[in-house]
Amino acid sequence: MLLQLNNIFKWVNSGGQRIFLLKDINLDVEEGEFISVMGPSGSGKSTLLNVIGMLDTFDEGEYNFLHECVHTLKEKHRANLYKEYIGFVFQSYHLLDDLTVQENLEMPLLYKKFKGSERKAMVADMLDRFNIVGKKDLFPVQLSGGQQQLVGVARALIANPKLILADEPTGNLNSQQSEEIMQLFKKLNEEDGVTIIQVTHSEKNAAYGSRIINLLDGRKV
Amino acid sequence: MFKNYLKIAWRNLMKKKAFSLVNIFGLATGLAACMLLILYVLDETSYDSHHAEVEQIYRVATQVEDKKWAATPAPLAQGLKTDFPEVETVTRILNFPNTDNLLLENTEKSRKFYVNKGYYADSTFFELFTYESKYGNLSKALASPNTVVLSETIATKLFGSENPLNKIISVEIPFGKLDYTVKAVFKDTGTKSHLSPNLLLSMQNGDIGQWVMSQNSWANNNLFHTYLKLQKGSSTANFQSKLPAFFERYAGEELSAYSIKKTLFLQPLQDIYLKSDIGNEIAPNGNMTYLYIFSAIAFFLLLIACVNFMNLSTARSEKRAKEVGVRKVMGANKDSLVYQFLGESMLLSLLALLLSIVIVAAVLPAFNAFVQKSLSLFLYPKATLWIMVITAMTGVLSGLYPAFYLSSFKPVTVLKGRIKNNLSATILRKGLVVFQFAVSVSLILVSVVIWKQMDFIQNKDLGFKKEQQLVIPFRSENTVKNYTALKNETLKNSNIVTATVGSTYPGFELVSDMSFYAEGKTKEENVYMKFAQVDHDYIETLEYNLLQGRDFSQGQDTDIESIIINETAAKNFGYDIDKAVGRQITYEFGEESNSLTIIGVVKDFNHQSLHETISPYGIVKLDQSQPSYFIANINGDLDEALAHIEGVWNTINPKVPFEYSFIGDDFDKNYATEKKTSTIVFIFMFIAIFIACIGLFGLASFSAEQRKKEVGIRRVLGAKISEITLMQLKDFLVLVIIAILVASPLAYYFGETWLQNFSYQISISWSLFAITTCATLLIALVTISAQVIKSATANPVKSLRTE
Ligand SMILES: Nc1ncnc2c1ncn2[C@@H]1O[C@H](COP(=O)(O)OP(=O)(O)OP(=O)(O)O)[C@@H](O)[C@H]1O
Ligand SMILES: [Mg+2]
Repeated sequence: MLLQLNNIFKWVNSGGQRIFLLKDINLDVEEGEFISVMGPSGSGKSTLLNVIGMLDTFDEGEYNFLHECVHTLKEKHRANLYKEYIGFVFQSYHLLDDLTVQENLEMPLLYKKFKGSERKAMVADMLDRFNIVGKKDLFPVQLSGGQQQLVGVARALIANPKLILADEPTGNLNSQQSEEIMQLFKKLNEEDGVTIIQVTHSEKNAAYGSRIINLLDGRKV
Repeated sequence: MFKNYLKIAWRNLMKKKAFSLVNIFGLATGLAACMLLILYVLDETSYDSHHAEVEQIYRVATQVEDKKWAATPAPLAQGLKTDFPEVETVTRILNFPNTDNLLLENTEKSRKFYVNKGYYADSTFFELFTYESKYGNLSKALASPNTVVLSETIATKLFGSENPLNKIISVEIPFGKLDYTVKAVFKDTGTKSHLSPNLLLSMQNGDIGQWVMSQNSWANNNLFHTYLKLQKGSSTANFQSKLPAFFERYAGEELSAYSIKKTLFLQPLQDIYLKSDIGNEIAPNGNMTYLYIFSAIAFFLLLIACVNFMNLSTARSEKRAKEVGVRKVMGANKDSLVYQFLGESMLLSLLALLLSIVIVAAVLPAFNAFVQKSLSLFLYPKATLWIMVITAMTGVLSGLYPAFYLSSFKPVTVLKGRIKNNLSATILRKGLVVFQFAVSVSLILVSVVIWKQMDFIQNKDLGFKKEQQLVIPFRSENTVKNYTALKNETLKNSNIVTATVGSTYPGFELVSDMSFYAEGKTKEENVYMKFAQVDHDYIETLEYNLLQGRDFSQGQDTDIESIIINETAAKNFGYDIDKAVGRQITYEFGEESNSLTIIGVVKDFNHQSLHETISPYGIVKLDQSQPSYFIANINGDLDEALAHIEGVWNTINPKVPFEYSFIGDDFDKNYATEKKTSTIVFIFMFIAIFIACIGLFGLASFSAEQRKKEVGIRRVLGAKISEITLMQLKDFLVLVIIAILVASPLAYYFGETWLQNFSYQISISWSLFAITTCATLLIALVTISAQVIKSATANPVKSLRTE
């Protein structure tokens, strides 16, 4: 078991009223799964993903990640946990505009204290794997959306995470670019055994996953 | 890791080139200005610090009522030395009246020139004051008669690289020309003193030596600057408490004969240059008040430059919220982000420091020429160190804010872009802009006040003709003798209306003064009066307005017993102006008493600068043998007149250099300090405004960037460009108006304080504030309008898409 959510609640208080963003979410994820999260806009998909990624907190319930109780961990430990095991892919890529492709890939490694030579090897390997060696010295603005997201995925993968969390990774891409990214996810999942949880609005993309979770008003349906 | 930070810092810098440049340049300008001022202030405060045991050296000065006088009678020094065992050394310096310029000559090399700051000094001079010898033995040099000690500068001018020891030079003063033997040369670089002598002549000599020896009055001829050194460990307070009894013992009888109450007081040597501004100073001193002003300006400039730097740095860092979020998600912890931002702002401030050093090095020669100093960049290592510390602190402070503020957010929040329009940050930033502008506005206001006052004093009717009045000093015996010939020949040119000679002219410090009393009054009801000794045609030449009576005229023997007084004097004597002519005033000199008859009354004129009010003033007939100033009233072609006089001079006084000045220029020299200060204030005002504008510009572009989306949406929804421009302008102009409101009372206070230096002042009117307000608003408007208009006219579709 990679992670387990038990009776997770998350709410905000607004005008004396409690508004639930997540309501009684239970979810078990095994290693090697490829899960798609779906639901209408505002149903809490991003919120759920952020909770799983430990970027956001929840108010009630239990969350175990690789036998660690996330809900009892201190902020710092939690950060260490997600740093080590989780890679993020965003809808709007979130590459750093001031860094080249190569440097963007290298950045997470800097924070994980890899040595210079190791970093170089890992970056070279990624560039190779994603077929973007020729683009390594370009800045994000010089790339198409699909290429940027490719770099985004490569960056998420570079430190060998167990879990990839992708929030509408193809939201800004055209259908052909989407297709490529989805193929990539599938390959990573099948060949490298990386666990993937993605949020998507497209049935077609959702079909790449092995399991679909539907959300409505913060509740699993 | 470090390399990575540096790389990103550099790239950030290059990416926003204009912004970085503005930011670095702003701080560098502030640092450079501050460095210059610090150098200046430190230099001014380091006068007379090179003398050994300087804390024990004092100058003895005198006081009559509230009038302080830097010099004392001749026998005082010896008296102190004899009566007080704690007085280790005494020395006297004599700056004889009308010998402010000595004509030096090395006949061997036929080098001849005028030099100032040449003093007669006792042989103990070098026991008290520490100077390093270049040639000869300083402590023995002045012991024998007719010897001279030269500064290295003068020695080089006279002798070149030759060793001048035991060579003869001739020194010419109005009383004659005499040979002196060079006995020593002292080094004059790096020794700043309120004296800063060019040469020292032994007190025993062939010209005035006899006169000096005969001086045994404890009341008259207060011309000797007396310095003393107290023994180590002796109490100054104790010594000072014994002075009144000592002075009473020797001078009491004489002084009571003149019915004068006089006291002695001590001035610590190191305080003289900056804190003493009393009668008969040996040379013009510095001014502590102005140092305070400069220090304050330096402080504020640095403050606004640093504030500006922080403001711009933090404004920029907020744009990088997304970067912080991404980095956090990628595993960056708080520490590494703190280091990154700190590193970036440190790099920027370091660049600013380097740039400021370049700026200082570039402008230092001009600055030196202007303030007449020889400052160099690393003259005061302490100052350099302080600047570096301040720069580092600025870097740290401006890095800390974004480091801690931005990295404290949860990454999700930042990535969603929710930290924009942070209220406290906005208020802080606006507050800083208000502060910067308040400082600038104060400086503008004070500058306008200074400028108006300077304009006022230079154009005020002084009661005499100030322009086109040529003055030629008679500095030697022969020139005095040739006066009549000079006058007759000079007047042959039609451009020269009248000419005369006098002991003084307006704007010049008068040394002659005496107390007189009116008819029917007693000695105790006297009027203290300064007076000039003049030849006939003096009133006409200076164009004083003669209200009653007549000028002195040629061939009138009774003129010797006559006097012309000003209105104030008449009033003080209790005479009606139209009835004063023919009345007498009396003075007593020792046992004798003499009377002068008033033959004329002139309208009050400013015989001193406008710092002073007009005091009782008398004009008496000159006794022909005295040295004086030749004055020629020119009306017409100045160049022609000048050429004519020079020709006449060279035929009548061959071999004496032709030297002249104009009364107007000499009079305005009294405002030299004010002029210098006002120029400095003006320059630094511009720098302050410049930095403040950089700040405003930065903020405007920052806010334009921030409101890009808002502006885009408003435009799409139908807002007019003019409405949007106005909306943004309003925000900034409100800040500037607040700054003006804060600054006005402050500036009013400083302006009034400065004006207290003058007896004749302008009044600070509301129009000055109105002008300043308009000027400031205009400057602010120009600064921000480009940014605001650019943002208002930007294609809304584009700005919405890139958001
Ligand atoms: N900090 C917050 N305060 C109040 N409400 C919030 C907050 N964060 C999220 N929400 C609300 O929670 C709900 C879920 O938001 P979430 O972003 O998870 O939706 P989503 O399913 O990802 O939608 P979309 O498909 O549009 O991305 C929304 O109604 C949103 O308004
Ligand atoms: Mg979402």
